[in-house]
Amino acid sequence: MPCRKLIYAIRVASALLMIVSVAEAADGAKYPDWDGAWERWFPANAVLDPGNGIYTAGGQPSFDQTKPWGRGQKAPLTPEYQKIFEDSIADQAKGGEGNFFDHAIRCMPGGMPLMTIAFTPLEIVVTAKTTYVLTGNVEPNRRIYTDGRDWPTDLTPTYAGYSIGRWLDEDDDGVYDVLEVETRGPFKGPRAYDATGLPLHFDNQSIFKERIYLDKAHPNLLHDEITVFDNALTRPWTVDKKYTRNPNPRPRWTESSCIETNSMVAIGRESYFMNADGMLMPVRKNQPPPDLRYFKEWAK
Amino acid sequence: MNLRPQFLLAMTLAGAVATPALAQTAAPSVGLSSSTEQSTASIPDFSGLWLHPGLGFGPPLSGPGPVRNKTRLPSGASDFRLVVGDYTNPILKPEAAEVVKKFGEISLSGRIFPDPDNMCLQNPVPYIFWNFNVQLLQQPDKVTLIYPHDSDFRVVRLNQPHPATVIPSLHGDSVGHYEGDTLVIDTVGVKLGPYRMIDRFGTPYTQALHVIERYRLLDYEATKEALERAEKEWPRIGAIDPNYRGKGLQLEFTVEDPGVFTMPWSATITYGRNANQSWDERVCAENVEHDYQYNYFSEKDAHLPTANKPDF
Repeated sequence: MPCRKLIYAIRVASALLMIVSVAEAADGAKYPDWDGAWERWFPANAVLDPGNGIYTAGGQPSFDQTKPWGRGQKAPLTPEYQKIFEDSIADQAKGGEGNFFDHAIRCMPGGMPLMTIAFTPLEIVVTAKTTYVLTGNVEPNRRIYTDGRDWPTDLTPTYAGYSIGRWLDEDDDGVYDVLEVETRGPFKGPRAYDATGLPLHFDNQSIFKERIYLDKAHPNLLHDEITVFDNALTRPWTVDKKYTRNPNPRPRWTESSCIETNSMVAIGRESYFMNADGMLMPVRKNQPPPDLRYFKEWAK
Repeated sequence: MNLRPQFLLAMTLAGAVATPALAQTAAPSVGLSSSTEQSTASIPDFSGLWLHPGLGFGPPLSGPGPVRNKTRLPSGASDFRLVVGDYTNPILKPEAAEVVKKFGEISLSGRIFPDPDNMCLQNPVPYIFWNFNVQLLQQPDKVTLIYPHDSDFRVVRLNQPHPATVIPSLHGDSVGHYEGDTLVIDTVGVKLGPYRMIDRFGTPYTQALHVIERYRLLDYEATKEALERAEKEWPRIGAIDPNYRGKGLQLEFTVEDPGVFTMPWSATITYGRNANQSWDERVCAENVEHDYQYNYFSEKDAHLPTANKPDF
């Protein structure tokens, strides 16, 4: 796979980097003000989706916020994963969920990097040894360890991955301004970048490197430069995700529960819609009903 | 089909052992020095990962206590595998007692009734306190409480009043302040969710629910004593670090709801340090069970029972 050697090299280099960074976590430097509710940024030419009342560059929220979701992302997928992606879109065109089945139908977490989309505002809590990114909406919370630890050797698969970071004071003013983060798997999956099912590799071995910092000119704009190293890509894919700070210094955090509002029913890998009367309905044309062989009167 | 709730309960119990104990030792949150009404020096440090080892609410420090489990183990402690609420508890109004009684009858019939936990819904306050693990992130103007159940969290605004009009939510509107060594949290506006209950026994609540939490650190000996006292009510499931000799954390909470209760009552939950080394993801929708080492597996690995033909 195209990125495999690169991923290995990054792992080795990053391990060394983390060892060097140990002393920096306890030097008494001040931390940046990342308090508040961080909302998904959208470009000036964003369009309003009347269906859900949100602005995006096109479609639903995307990984690269400057481009429309799905094909519009122009993700550097390998031919094999471009085919998987096109199959996902084709399935969705027929009423299915494609590669987004688990998240859309079963309310499973999207994990990295979908959890950086900020469907609901992110809260970032900076402490000396760990920075927490609280995502809500059944996505796991991110713990970015900045205590100088090394990579554990017994990692089990997770949706969020395991994140180690280090603070940088790049302008040497005594205040940290950049949080560098590396996130490794093994991940749980399958995962997708957005709701079209734009896929990450099913080997779940992605690596993410991020630089998170406030915009120098706009302190209420947070950048998260993410580079994805994934074996479904022909090259590393970098985007500059942005978040805007809610101007309310004491924002009201809203609750969002996928399960509570979920009208979809998953039976095996088939999805059905449950209407307000509790009746099961098909989601695509000519969809067969569930297998009723064990319901004797109805199986004939 | 009753299997799914059983798996979820199993996962819940496994969570007690499988979860937390982060390396974040007693280090106060960054920036704790500004805008608090209480001076930084006197603000207690609640950082780190806390674990309480029992499934339910512990006994009150004094006065009326919560609904207790009628089914007991030979040791006299609650049988967490069969939750049947004591509907004769004088705190319950007759209508509420009837609700608790009916849920208990479902349990006794061998079925498991749906609750916010096994239905993978957000948990209302104080139901959410069942989470074996909790982490308190203290900041100058707020405290964020993190729970493992679907990575849930609550945000408590410090030194602020409730808004004149509260928008109901399952976590309610929580405001807090420090009183000496104690963090006091006041919660109102808890939404009436699809399974509106404040405990494992199905004790209901109304929109008048008012919960006051008081968190404070206990010395090691006091923690040990409180844990032993709690263990007489709920057997120890979670793995507390046996080598930890530092302070513990105690939550004492008071519940008022004139729509359900005849009087205010209180309960305690005492936390020690978790014996494990990481905060695991707990994804309710995965519908997993645990293995004998209390590890989680994704669905494809779960030991789901199978049948080639129906039982009837």
